[in-house]
Amino acid sequence: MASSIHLTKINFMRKSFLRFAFVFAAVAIVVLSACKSGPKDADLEKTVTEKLSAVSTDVTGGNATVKDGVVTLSGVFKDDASKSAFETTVKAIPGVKSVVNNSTVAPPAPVVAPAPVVINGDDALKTGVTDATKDFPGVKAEVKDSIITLTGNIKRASLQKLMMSLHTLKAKKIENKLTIK
Amino acid sequence: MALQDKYKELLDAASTSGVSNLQVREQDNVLYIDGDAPTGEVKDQLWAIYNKLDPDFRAADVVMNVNVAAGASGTKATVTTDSSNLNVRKGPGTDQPIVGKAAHGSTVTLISKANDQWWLIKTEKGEEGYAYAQYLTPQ
Repeated sequence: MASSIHLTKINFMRKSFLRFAFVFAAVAIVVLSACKSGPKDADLEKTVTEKLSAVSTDVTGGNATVKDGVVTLSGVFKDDASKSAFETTVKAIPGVKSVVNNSTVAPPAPVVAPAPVVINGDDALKTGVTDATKDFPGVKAEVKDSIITLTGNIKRASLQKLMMSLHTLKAKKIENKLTIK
Repeated sequence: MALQDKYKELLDAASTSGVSNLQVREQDNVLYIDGDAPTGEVKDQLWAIYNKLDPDFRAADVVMNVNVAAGASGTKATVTTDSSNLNVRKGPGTDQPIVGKAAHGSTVTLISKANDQWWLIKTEKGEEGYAYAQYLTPQ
C-alpha cells in the first residue's frame, strides 16, 4: 500500500515536469521567433515614412509600404541622386530585408532660352549719340548697322563718362577709335 | 563662352554686388550685360573692373547697360556734373528747349524715368523738366 502511494507520487512529479518542460519550450519558441523576425512591418513602415518626410523637399507623393520586411517605395524624386540616396537610407534601416523601388525621377525642367538682346535701330541710336556726345566736343560718332564708331579725341578722365552714356543706348557694338589725350 | 571667361571678374562682381534683373548674354561675339545697380558706387565699381579688363574700352566686345535703379517718384538725386550747371529741358533730348538749370551739386527730385538717358525732375527752384540721367546720382 505504502509503495503504491509512493509510485503515484513519482508518476505525478514526472507528469508535472513534462508539463513544465512543454510550456517552457513553447515560450522559448515564441520568444526566439519574435527575435528572429525583428521589428514588425507596421513599425518599419512608420520608420520609412518618417525618413520620407525628412526628405520631403526631394520627393513628391512619396509613399512606403512594408510586407514581411520588404519595403516598396513610390513617389517622384527630383533627381537620380536623391532617389538612390533614399534607397540607401532605407536599406540601412535594421529589419529591412530588401527594397522594391518603384519611385521615379521627375523629368528635367525645360531650359528657358534667354530673351534676345534688344538692339536699337540707327535712328534711335543717332538721337541718343547726339545727346551723349554733346558735352564732348572733340568726339565724332558715327552710327551704322546699330554699331557706334567713335573717332576724334578725348581726355582720359572723360572717356569712362562718355562710355557710360553710350552703353545705355542699346547699340549692337561700340567701337572706340578715339585718340586719348 | 570665351567672353564670359574674359570678363569673369566683372560678371562675378555684378552678381555679388546686388545688381538686380541681371542678364548676361553673348551674341555675335559681344557680351551684353544688363541690370539695375543698387547704387552709383556699385555702377562705378563695375566700370572700374571693366576698364581694368579692357583698358580704355578698346575691344568693342562688351555692351554694359547697368544703370542705377531710379527709386520711386520723389527720390532725391544730386547733380553730378563736372562743374557746370545741368540743363533742364522741355522734352527728353538735347534738341529740346532749355527750361531751367540745376546747379552743380544741388539736389533735385525725381518724378519719373522717361528712359535710361532722360529723367523727368524738379529742381530746388521748382522748375520741372528733363535732365540727362548720366549727371544725376540718386541719394
